Amino acid sequence: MRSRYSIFALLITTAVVLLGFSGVIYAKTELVYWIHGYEPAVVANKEIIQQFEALYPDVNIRFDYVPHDDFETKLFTAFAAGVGPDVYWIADNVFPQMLESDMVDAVMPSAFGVDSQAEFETLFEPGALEAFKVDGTLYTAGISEYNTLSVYYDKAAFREAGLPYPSATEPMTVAEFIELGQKLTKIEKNRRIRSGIEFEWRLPNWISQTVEPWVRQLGGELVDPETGMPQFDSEEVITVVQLLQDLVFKYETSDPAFVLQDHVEDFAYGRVAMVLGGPFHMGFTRGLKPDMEIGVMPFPVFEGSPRVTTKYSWAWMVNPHSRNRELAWKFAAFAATEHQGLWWNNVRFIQPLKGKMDQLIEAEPLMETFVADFEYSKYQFSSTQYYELAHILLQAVSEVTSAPVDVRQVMERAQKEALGAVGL
Amino acid sequence: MLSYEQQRRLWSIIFVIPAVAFFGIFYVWPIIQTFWLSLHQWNIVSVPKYIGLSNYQNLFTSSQFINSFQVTTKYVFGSVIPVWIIALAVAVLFNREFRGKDMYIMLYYLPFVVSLTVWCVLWKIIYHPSFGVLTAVTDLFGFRNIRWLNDPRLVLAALIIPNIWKVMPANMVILLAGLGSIPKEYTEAAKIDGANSLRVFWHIILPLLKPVLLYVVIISTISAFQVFTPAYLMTRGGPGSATRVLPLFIYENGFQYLRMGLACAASMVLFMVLMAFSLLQLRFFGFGKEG
Amino acid sequence: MNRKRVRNAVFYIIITGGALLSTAPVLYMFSASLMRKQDIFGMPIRLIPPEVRWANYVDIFTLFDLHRYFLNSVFVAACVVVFNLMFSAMAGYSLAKGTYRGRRIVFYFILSTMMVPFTVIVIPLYILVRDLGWLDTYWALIVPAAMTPFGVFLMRQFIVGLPDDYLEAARIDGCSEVRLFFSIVLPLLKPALSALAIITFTGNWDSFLWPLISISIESLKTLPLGLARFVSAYGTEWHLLMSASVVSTLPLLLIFVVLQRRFIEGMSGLSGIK
Repeated sequence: MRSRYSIFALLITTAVVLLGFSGVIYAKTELVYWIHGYEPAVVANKEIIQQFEALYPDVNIRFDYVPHDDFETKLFTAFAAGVGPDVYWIADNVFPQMLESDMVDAVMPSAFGVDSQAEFETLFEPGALEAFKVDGTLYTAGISEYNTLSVYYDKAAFREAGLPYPSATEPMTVAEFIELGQKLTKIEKNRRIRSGIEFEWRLPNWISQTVEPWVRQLGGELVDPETGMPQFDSEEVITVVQLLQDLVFKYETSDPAFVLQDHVEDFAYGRVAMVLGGPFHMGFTRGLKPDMEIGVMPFPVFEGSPRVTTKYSWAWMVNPHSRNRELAWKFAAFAATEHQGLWWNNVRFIQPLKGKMDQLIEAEPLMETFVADFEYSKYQFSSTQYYELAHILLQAVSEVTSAPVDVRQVMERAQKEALGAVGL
Repeated sequence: MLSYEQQRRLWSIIFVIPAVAFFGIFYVWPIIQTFWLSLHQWNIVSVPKYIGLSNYQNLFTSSQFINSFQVTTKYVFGSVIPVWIIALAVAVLFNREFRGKDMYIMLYYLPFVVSLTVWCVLWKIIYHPSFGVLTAVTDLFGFRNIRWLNDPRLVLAALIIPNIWKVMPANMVILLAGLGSIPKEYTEAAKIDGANSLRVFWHIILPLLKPVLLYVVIISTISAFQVFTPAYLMTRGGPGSATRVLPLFIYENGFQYLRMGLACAASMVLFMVLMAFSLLQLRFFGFGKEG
Repeated sequence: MNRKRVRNAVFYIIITGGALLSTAPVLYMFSASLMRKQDIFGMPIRLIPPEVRWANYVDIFTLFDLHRYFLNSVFVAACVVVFNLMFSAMAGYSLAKGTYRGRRIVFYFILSTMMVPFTVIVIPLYILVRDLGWLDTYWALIVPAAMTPFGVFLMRQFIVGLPDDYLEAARIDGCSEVRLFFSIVLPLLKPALSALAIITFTGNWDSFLWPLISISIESLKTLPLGLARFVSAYGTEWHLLMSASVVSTLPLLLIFVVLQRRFIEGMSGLSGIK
């Protein structure tokens, strides 16, 4: 009997001793750096960290990467407890929320070897930073992932259907896009084998990114940029949401139930012929299917409407309450402006440093379409309630694409909820 | 010098102190804070602003919250009742000696030890309308293109089925243990008196099984109310908001919309509901009357 | 005799059918863990890998360092189990056999903490753990899980069923309360402790949200965080996820197989008839 509880005691003692060893004390200056986990980006970041630590031997960078879907949860919890990381990534759409909560620092030009914010801005492509600028002040160290949405297509599917490849520079009309989608859709014995067109149906920011450029082409806005008022029941929004419903039930080119997890993964395996995707998908697709013949065409445009596409970014941020603010900026600057080559070659994320975009086209001719689409791209609506509004939109889209219900009615309800969300 | 009785009392108090301290610090204190925060407007980072009961008022007038509440209730009853019935049936089946019993129990237990995250992902693949394994089965019965996770009429069932699969074994094992501890003489005596099996089960076995049933009922109800992972991973609350269960509502409001005050209020409501349910169940089973 | 045989056969058919049904998804998981990524998903639907790829099981350890997550999980779960058994048994004994007033209230108090949804207390808990200086240490993973209301509930219910005469006899022999607990009560609790060990180990094995936010250094991360690396917004390694999950299931299965008999015996303590 005795031996049993001495085993207990032994186990507890061992546990306590092992625990005691876990708190290693660093004498070095420490920076905490968090990003969302994307394997190639993690590897590239480790390399950048190594280089930085070699330059500053008394600095230790504590790096962590968090599953994409849970990244904000972790970030917000840490900030709530006052232990937010010194340097981290966020997407443009959560920026207003972060700024309101005092989680982002105004740019420190000296860290970039320039004298002023204006001079800092000239390091980047025009307009690239505008989502992170409020009342004339900039709040980012640079962009880690600069994106617009164009359309990837599977050349093999086009050949199989006997269709000519679309133009890489001239956008087709929405009507033409749908027609193509129908021809590329394969349904056998009442079972979908391949979708002509698919989207990322699952995530609020993606739905908003998909709907918004079309709404803007028609002259509308999801959220009025002046007043911050949602416009979910406007004719323009209803038209676009109706289009998504028609793609599912009328034209049968798409089905949210068909996309398992990631629409671009489905694309790479030939389950979808055309997808909306960003430049970062290039590396991803090639990684999955190195021999795939990919084509890219511009974002489709409603007939007679101006060309508008979407733009979104992830960017480096510095915590204004960092104990080593200057060092944090130095590191952020180092990562954001001195590694475009590494970033592009290994991660296939674009850092929009000025005058460097042509080099991307040289390295990857298909980038031409994206670079052209960037010219017509606009950042998403800016709101401190971005996520809630985007989620209300997602719920509405999800409702009308899961059953053939009346779009106007659903959007009117969504509008009411959206007004509640912004406190009106 | 303490008397023996006093010593004994002292030690039993000392024994319970770690538990009281632990639950006080790691459970009750956070709940108190949650309650306090539910009276405030708080975006996680700012200083909480006192707004009285406004969060509760907003909740009860919010169609989203009411929807979440209804969805959760449907989910809970839809999943616990089948779990109880199936678990009890299987336990009764297993309540005898036969060759390979241990192995069979292990086979039935298997789904319970699979990681919940993986379980959900796995079922997402199984449910796929074109390439899912289940499609091959439903095809045999002539159903085509069933969109399990995207059809508002089917989606709750689609969340409940994997849950039954995963939760049933744990409950079954507990019930089996309970059945095993009922002395054979009780049931045999009744059978000699000419009672049929069903009557024996209803009038003798079930009443004796009460304490175990109580445990199973309370714990499965509580954990069903707290369902999060399946809804988060398999449907994200969709289609529309057909599977937006309360814990998902709380998570989204708290961590994505940064309406922590509102999320805390919703949690307090969930807390109260669970308390009420558990008390009802305790009463129903006549707990606390004897002993 | 013949009738009995038929009944027996029917019985085996039923339970075998049930066993097939309940293990089917798990078998599919195992089968998928041996496929190439593109086999899991495509036409025709495959139940069996067209070519068996054991290399998946190598990849998860070489490409994703799964062993580190695995060892962390084992260590954390083991500590959590030990603390749970110890403290729950003590509390359960006190609540079941103590003679002080208010123990029923204490019991209800502990029982009521079961109703707390974790999502909500996560921020206050995080702040508490930060104040204790435990972020990014094993303490953060172990201490908040060191007891569960379920554990105390189970122990108390079990101990209530232990015969008082037996304990009284020891007391009459002059046995002190501490010794009584360790040398008489604890050994009697073996089955219940086995049950609690299984429940606690399984419960802790899967926890995701708490380690996600409280641990920010790679060397302390647990298995669910490791599994999450296979799923990202930029693509999912389905086949590796399945292999990793088979591996992560093994310890739980092992524990169940070892403790199965005692587990069932332990759970029977709940009925309070014994």
